[in-house]
Amino acid sequence: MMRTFMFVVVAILAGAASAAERSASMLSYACAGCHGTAGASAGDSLPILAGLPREYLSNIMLQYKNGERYSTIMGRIARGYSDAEIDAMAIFFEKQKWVSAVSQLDPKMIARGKELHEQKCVRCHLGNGQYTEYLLPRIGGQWSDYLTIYLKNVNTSEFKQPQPQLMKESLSLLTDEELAALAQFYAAQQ
Amino acid sequence: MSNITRRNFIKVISSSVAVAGLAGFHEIGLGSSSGRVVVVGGGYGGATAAKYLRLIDPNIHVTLIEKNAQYVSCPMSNEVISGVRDINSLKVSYSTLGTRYGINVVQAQVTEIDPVKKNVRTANGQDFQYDRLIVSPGIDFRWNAIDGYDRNAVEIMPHAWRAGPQTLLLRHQLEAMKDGGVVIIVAPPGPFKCPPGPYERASLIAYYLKQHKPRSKILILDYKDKFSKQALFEQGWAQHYPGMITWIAGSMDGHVNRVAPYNMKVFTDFEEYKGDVINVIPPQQAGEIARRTGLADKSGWCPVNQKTFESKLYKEVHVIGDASIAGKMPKSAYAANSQGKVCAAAVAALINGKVVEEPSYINTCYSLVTPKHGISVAAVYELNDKGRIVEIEEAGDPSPIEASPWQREMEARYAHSFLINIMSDTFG
Ligand SMILES: Cc1cc2nc3c(=O)[nH]c(=O)nc-3n(C[C@H](O)[C@H](O)[C@H](O)COP(=O)(O)OP(=O)(O)OC[C@H]3O[C@@H](n4cnc5c(N)ncnc54)[C@H](O)[C@@H]3O)c2cc1C
Ligand code: HEC
Ligand code: HEC
Repeated sequence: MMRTFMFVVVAILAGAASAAERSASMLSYACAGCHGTAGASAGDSLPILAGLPREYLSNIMLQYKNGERYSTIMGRIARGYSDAEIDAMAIFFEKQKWVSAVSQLDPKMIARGKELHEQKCVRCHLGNGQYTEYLLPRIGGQWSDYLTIYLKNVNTSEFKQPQPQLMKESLSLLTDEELAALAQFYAAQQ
Repeated sequence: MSNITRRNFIKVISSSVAVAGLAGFHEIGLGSSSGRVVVVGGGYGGATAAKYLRLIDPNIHVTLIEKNAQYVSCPMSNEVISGVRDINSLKVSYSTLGTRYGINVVQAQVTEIDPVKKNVRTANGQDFQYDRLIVSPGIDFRWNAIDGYDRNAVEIMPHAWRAGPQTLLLRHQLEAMKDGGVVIIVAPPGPFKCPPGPYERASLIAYYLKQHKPRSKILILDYKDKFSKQALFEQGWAQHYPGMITWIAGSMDGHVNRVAPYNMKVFTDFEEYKGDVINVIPPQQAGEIARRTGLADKSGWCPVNQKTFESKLYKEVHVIGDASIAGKMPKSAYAANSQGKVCAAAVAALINGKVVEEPSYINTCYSLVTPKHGISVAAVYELNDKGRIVEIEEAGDPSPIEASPWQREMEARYAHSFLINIMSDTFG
C-alpha cells in the first residue's frame, strides 16, 4: 500500500552544481531563523524539517519555487535557490535529528483523532504518523498548529496543494473540528 | 505493514539540540588549532555568531561579553505596547549559551578595544586577548539630531526603541491617556533599525485605542517620503482603523527638528504639534563602542568586507548586525542572525587557514497590523561580483496586496512562531 503514492515520482534530483557553490550548511543555516536550529522548530505553527526525507523536502521546495504549491512565504524564499541548492539543503535537513514538538493537547481530541486516523489515514501514515520515507513526511510529533493550518488549507480549494488524490478525498469529508482532532492526535505521537 | 520495520522509529527523549546531535552540521574539515574569538554584544547578531562558531568548530574558544544579564527582544515588543503580550515572554538569559555550547559568557560593559594589541577591556578592568574579534553592539541614537531630545527627554517622550523599561513606559503612558487623546510617533530617517517597526507600532497602538479609547488619534511625523510595506500597512489601516492614523511625509513638513518635552510639543519647519503621548524614534548610528574604536566611517556605520564581515578599517575585527553596512540587507533581527552565521563560518575558516565559503543570507520581517493580521517581506541575498550583498531578483517581495483574511491570519501565526524560533536559534 505504501507503493500507491510512491508512483508519484517527480524528477527532483537535478544533479548539476551551481556556479556559486554555496555549501549545504551555509545555505541551510539561513532557514533556522524561522525553522529552528538544524530544522528543529520550536514555534507551534512552523514545521519541523529535521529528519524528513530528502526526496520529500526537495519535492516540496521545487513546488514552492515553481508556483505549484500554495505558500504564504516559502515561494518567495524558494525562488532564491537553484534546483541543486535545494537538493543540497534537503540532504542537510534529512541528516538532522527529528525533535518532536512538545505541546499542550486535549486528551478527548486525541482520542477522536485516533479513531479518524484509523479509519482514513492509517494506510499511508503508518506508525501513528511517525513513519517517514521518500515522499511521505513524518507527521507524528509535528506541531499541532502547523498540522491544523495545513489540513485546513488542503480543504480550501482556493489554494494549490498537490496532495495524493486519496488523501485529498479522505480529508474533504472532514469538518474543521475533525481536522483539529487529527492534528492533536498526530502532535501527541512524540 | 512490513514497511515499518525497514526504518526504525526515532524515539526522541530529549527535546534539546545538543552540539553532538547535529550531524553533518558543517562540512569544512576542521583544524586542531584552537583560536580565541571574543564577541562583543550578545544581541541577535553577537549571540548567533558565538553559538554557530562553537557548532562549526568546537575547538575554537569563544568569549561573549554582554553588558546586560538578560536580553529583551525588540521583535514583538510592539505587542507589549499594545497590551496583548507580557514583556517577560521577550526575555532570555545567556545561560544556555554557556551550558550547552561551552561559550564563556561574561557580563560586563566593554569600554576599550585595542585592535593593534588585540585586546578587549571591560569597565571592571578585565582584559581579553583575541585572535579575531566580532563586534555586534547594535545601534546608538544621534543625540544631537533633534533639538531638545536628550537623555532626560526620553523619560517623558520615550523612544521605546530598546526593549525594556522604555517599552513599559510607553505602554503605561497609553494606559493613562484619556479617550480622545493624540499619540504622536516621530519616525526616523534611514538607515535605522527595523524599517517597518514604527508603522507596526502605529498599528498595534491603534489596536489598543480602538478597543479602549476609540476617539483617539495617531499622528506619524516622518523624515521619509515612503516606508517599508507601505501599501500593505495603509490597506490594513483603512480596513481596521479608518480615520485613526495620519501619516505625514518628510516632504509634506513631517520632519521633526525640535521637541519641547515639558510642553509635550514637537516642531517641524512650519508647524508645532501637541501630543498626549509622544514616541520619538530618533535618527541612529552604529553602537558607541564601534564608533569609539574607529570602526565606523563618516556615515556613522561600519564598513565591512561583506563576505566575511571583517572591518575595512581594522584587520581581524568583524562587525555584524545593525552596526554594519551590509549591502542591501536591512537592520533587522533576522538579518543580524543570518550575518552572525556567515561571519562565524568565515571566522572559523580564517582561523583554520581554510578558504572562506561563498556566503548565503536571508532576511524576513514580519509585521502585525492586528495580532491576527500579519504581513511580511522576505529576501534571499548573495554576494555580487563587486563584493556587495544584493537581493536575488527572482526571490523576495512583500506579501500580496490581494489576500484573504485567512491568509493574513496565517502570517500572524507564523510571525508569532518566528519569534520563538529566532530566539531559540540565537540564544537556545
Ligand atoms: C520595536 C522594534 C521591533 C522590531 N521587530 C523586529 C522584527 O519583527 N523582526 C526583526 O527581524 N527585527 C526586528 N527589530 C530589529 C532588531 O531588534 C534588531 O535589528 C536586532 O536586535 C539587531 O541585532 P544586533 O545584534 O545588531 O543588535 P542588538 O540586538 O541591539 O544587540 C546589541 C547588544 O550589544 C550589547 N552591547 C552594546 N554595547 C556594548 C558594550 N560596550 N559592552 C557590552 N555589551 C554591549 C547590548 O547590550 C545588546 O545586548 C525590531 C526592533 C525594534 C526596535
Ligand atoms: C520567514 C520564515 C521562513 C523562512 C526564512 C523559511 N521558511 Fe520554510 N516555511 C515557512 C512557512 C510559513 C511555511 C509554511 C508554508 C508557507 O505558508 O509559506 C514553511 C514551510 C516549509 C516547508 C514545508 C514543510 C512541510 O513538511 O510541509 C519546507 C520544506 C521549508 N519550509 C523549507 C525551508 C527552507 C529549506 C528554508 C531556507 C532556505 C526555509 N524554509 C526558510 C517559513 C519560513
Ligand atoms: C494515499 C496515502 C495518504 C493518505 C490516505 C493520507 N495521506 Fe497524508 N500525506 C500523504 C503524502 C504522500 C503526503 C505528502 C504530500 C505532499 O507532498 O504534500 C502527506 C502529507 C500529509 C500532511 C502534511 C505533512 C507536512 O509536514 O506538511 C498531513 C498533515 C497529512 N498528510 C495528514 C493526513 C490525514 C489527517 C489523513 C487522513 C485523513 C491523511 N493524511 C491521509 C499520504 C497520504
